[in-house]
Amino acid sequence: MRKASYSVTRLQNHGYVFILPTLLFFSLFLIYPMISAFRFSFFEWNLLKPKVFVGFKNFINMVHDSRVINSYVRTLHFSGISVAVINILAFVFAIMFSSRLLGWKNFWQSLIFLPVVLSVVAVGVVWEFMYQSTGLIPVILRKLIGTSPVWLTNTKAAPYAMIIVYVWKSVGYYMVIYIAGLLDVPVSFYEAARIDGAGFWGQLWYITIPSLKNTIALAVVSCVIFTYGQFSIQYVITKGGPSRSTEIMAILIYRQAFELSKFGYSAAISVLFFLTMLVFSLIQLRLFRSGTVGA
Amino acid sequence: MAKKVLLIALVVLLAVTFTVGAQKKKLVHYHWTETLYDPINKKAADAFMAKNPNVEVVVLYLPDGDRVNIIRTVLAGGGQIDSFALNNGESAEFLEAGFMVPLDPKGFGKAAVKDVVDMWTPGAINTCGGVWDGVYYGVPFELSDYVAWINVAFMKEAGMNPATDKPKTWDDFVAVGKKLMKVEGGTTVRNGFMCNSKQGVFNFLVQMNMMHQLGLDWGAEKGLIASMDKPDVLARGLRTYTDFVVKHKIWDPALADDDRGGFGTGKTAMFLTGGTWYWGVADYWKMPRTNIEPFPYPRFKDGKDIGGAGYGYCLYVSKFAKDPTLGFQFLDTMASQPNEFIKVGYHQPRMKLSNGAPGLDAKLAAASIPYYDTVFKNELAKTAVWLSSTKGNQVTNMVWDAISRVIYEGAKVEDSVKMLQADIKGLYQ
Amino acid sequence: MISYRSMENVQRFVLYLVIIVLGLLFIFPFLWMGLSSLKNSKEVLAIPIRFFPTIWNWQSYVNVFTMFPDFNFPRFIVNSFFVTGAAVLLCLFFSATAGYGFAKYRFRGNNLLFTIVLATIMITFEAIIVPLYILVRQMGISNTYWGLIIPESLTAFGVFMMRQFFYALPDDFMESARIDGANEYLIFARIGLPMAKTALLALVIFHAQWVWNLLLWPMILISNPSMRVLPQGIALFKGGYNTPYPEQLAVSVIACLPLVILYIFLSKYFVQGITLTGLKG
Repeated sequence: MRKASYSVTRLQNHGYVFILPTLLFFSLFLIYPMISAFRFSFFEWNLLKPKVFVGFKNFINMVHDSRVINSYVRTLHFSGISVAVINILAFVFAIMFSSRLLGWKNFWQSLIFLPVVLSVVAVGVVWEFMYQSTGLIPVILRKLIGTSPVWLTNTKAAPYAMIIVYVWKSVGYYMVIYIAGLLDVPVSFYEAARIDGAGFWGQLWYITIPSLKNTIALAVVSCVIFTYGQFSIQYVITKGGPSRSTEIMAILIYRQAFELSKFGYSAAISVLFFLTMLVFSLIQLRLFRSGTVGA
Repeated sequence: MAKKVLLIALVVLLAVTFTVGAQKKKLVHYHWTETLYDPINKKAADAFMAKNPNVEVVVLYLPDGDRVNIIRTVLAGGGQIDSFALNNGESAEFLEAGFMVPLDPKGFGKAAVKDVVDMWTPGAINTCGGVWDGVYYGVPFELSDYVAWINVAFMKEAGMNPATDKPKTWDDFVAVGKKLMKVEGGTTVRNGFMCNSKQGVFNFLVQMNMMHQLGLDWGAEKGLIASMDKPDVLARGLRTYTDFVVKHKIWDPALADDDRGGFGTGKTAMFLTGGTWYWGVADYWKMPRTNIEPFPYPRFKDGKDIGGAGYGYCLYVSKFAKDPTLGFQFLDTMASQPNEFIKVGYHQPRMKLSNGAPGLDAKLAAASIPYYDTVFKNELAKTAVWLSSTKGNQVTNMVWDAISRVIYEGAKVEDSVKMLQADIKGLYQ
Repeated sequence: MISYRSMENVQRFVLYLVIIVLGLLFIFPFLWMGLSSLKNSKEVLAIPIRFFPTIWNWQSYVNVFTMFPDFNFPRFIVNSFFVTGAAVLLCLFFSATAGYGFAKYRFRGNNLLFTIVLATIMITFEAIIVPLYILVRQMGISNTYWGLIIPESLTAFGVFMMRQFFYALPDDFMESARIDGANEYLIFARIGLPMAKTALLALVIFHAQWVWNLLLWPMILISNPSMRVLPQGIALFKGGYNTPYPEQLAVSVIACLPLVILYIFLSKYFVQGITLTGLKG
C-alpha cells in the first residue's frame, strides 16, 4: 500500500513541472516588480536623485490628499455604474441574440463584439470628434431632445462620456459569456416551465436567472476587476480632465509618477489600489470555491 | 499547421532583425517632433554622419508632451541616451540632479568655454535654461517669446480697423473678444479667445505672465513663495484669466481643445501661445498670412510692462554619453542651421558658427518673419521669466488645477486661490 | 384570435428591428471613422456634420505610407504582428501548461500557488512599470523584442481559463495513456493540448487584442524607431501639434483592421471556446 501511494505522489508531482515556467516568469516579471513598488512607497523618489526614506509619510499624506480621495471616488463611480450597465445590457443582449427567432446569430453577435477588438488609441480620436460640441453626438441629441450636455468639458458629463465609451467597448465580451451560459441551460427546464404555464417572464425569472447564477457571478466579479484597472479610455480622450473629473486611480498613479516625478507617492497610491482589488478578488475566490472549480 | 508556419516565420524575422547592426559608434539623441522641423533636423543628422562615417546617429522624435517623461525614465533606467533637448521650464530638475555634462569647448573646436558662449546672443544660454550654479551646460536651440495673435480678417468682418483696434489692455482684449465671438443656434462656432484646454502648461504660461504684470515674481521659487502672501493680487490675476470663460464668455472650451490648430482653422479669433514659429504653423493649416497679425500681449492699465513668456530650448549631453566631446560636436551640428529654421519662422539665437561663418542672418530673419522688428524683437526684451524650479511640473499642475476649478467646476476665485496657496506652501515646506 | 404563428412573426419583426438598430449603433463609430478617413481635412472638421465625403479621398491612405518618413507604418505593423504573435504563443504556452498542471495534479500547495498566480491579475501595469523597466534593463533586454514580448505574454486570466477547461475534462484519457506507457508530458502535448483547441483559440482572441493594442509598455521600453509597434506609432503621430486629421483617421482604420479580420475568422470558435472552458460558471 505504501508503494502505491508513493508512486501516486510521484505522479502528482509532475504538476510542479507543468506549473514551473509560469511560476518562474510570473514571479520575476510580475510579483517581484510589485514588491519593489511596495518598497518604493516608503520613499520619496523623483527617479533622478537617490531615494529618500520617509517611512509612512506618503500614506499619511495620501489620506489627506483631496486628489487621492477624488480619484478613489471617481473610480468607484466609474466602476459601479459601468459594471451594472455592462452586465444588465450583456444579459439582455444575450437573451435577445440567442433567441430562436433570430437567424444569422453569429453575424449579429459579431457586430456587438466588434468594439472589443478595436484599438482604444485608434478609436479614441473618433469618439473625441463625436463628443465635441460641434460633433455628432450633441448634434443628434439636439435634434432629438433639443439639448445636449457639453460632454468633454463639463465635469458632470465627462465621467458619463467615458462610461458610454467603455460600455460600448466591453459589453460584447460579457454578452458572449452570458450566451455561453445560456447555451448550457437544459431545454427540458424551459419545457417543464411552459407546461406549468409559465410565460416569457416567468421562465426568465424562475429558470434562466437561477441557472445562470454562476455565470453572473463570474461576469460581474471579473468585470469589476478589469474595470478597476481601466486606463486607456480616459488617458486617450480626456487625460483625466476636465478638472480631474475623469481621473480614475490608474491615471492618478500614472500622472503622479510620470508627470510629477513622485514615484514614491505613486507607489503608495498603487498599494491602496492593490489592496482594494484584493478585497474584490477574495470575494471572487470565495464564490468560485463554492461553485464549480475546487481542487 | 498554420500555427507552425507562423512560428517559423516569426523565428526567421527575429533572426533577421538581430543580424542587422554594425560595429559603429552610436549616438542616441532625444528630441521632439514637429512636422516642419523634423526634415531640417534630419539634414543636420545626415550631415554629421557624412562627416563622421564611423558614427551612427539616431534621433528620436517624440511628442513634446511626453518628451520629458521619457527622457527621465531612460536616464533613470540607464538606457542609452547620449543627448537630449529640454526647455528652460524643465531643465532645472535635471541640472540639479547632475545628469548633464558641462560644455566642452573641444566639441566646438574652441579653446575656452567663453569662446563657445560668445557664439550665441548674450544671455541666450541663461534664458534657455542651460546654466546651473554658474556652469554652462546647454547648447541653445531656440529662443522665443509668446506674443498675442489676432485674425484680422475676422476683425474687418466685424467692422473693426486692424491698424487701430488691436487690444492694448486686458479690458480691450475682452471687448474685442466679445465682438469676434460667434455663436450660432446656441453653439459656439468661433471663440473670441482660447487656450489649450487639455494641457495645463500653456494656461500656466499665460497666467504666469499676468502674475508677473501684477508685480508678483513667478520667475523664481523665492518670488513664487512670497507671492502666496498676497491673495488679493493672486485673485485678481486668476480672475482676469478665468473670467474669459466664466464671466465674459469669450472662451468656450467645448469648441476645441488645441489653440494653435484652432487659430489656424479659424475656430478662434485670438490666442496667446504663439511665437515667431507660428508663421510656419499657419502655413501648414493653409491660413493666409495676410489674415493674421501678431501683437504685444495686452497689459494691465496699472500693471508692469511685461510681455509674454520667454522660453528657449537647449540641447544637453547626458552624463551617460560614452564620448561627450563627440556628443557636443553633434549638438553643434544640430544647432548650426539658424537660417534654415528661420525660413519657417523658428528663431535660433546663433550669432556665429563654429567655423567662423555668420549665424542668423538678421535681414533674412526680418524678411521671413513678418513683424519681427516691430513686435517680436521688442517683446523679447520684456519677456515674463519662466519659473525655474526643480518642482516646476508640480507648480504648473497646481496652477492649472486652480484655473480648472474655476472654469470647469464653477468654484469661486477666492476659494481656488486658497487651495493654491495651500498647495504651493505644502510643496516648498 | 391571433394565431400563434403570426404572434411569433410580430415578435420576430420587433426583435430584428431592435437588433438591427443596436447593431448599427455599435459599429457606427467604426463606420464613422472609416468614412471620415476618406474625407479631406476641411470636410472632417466641417460644421455642419456630413456623413459621406463629397469627394472620396483615398489619398490619405497613400500619404500615411509615403509622406511621413519618420513614421514607417509598414514597419510598425510588421513589428506589431511579430510581437503580438510571439506574445500570444508564449501566453498559450504558459496558460496551457500551468492550467493543466493545476487542474490535473494533486500536489502540495496546489491551491495556494494557484491563488498566488490568480492574485497577479490585480497587478496593473502602471503600478509596476518603473521597477519592471529597471529589471528589464538590468537583464540587458531593454529596447529589445524579448523585453517587450515576455512581460506582455503574462496573464493570470489565461491560466485561470485553461485550468477551468482542463478541470472539466474527465481524466480517463490520462489513465489509458499511462497504461499504454506514455509519460506525462507526452500525454499533455499529444492528447490534452489538441483537445483544448477551441479554448486556446478563445484565449488567442482575448490576449491578442490586449497585446496588439498595448501602448504604455512599448512607449517606455522601446526607443529605437525601427522597433516601434503600431499603437506607439499612432500615439506619436497624434502627439505632434499639427497632425493632419484624415491621415490620423486613416492610421486608426489601418490599426483596427488586422484584429477585425482575425476576429472574423475566429469568431465562431470564440463562443464555443468559452463554453468549453466552463468559464460561464
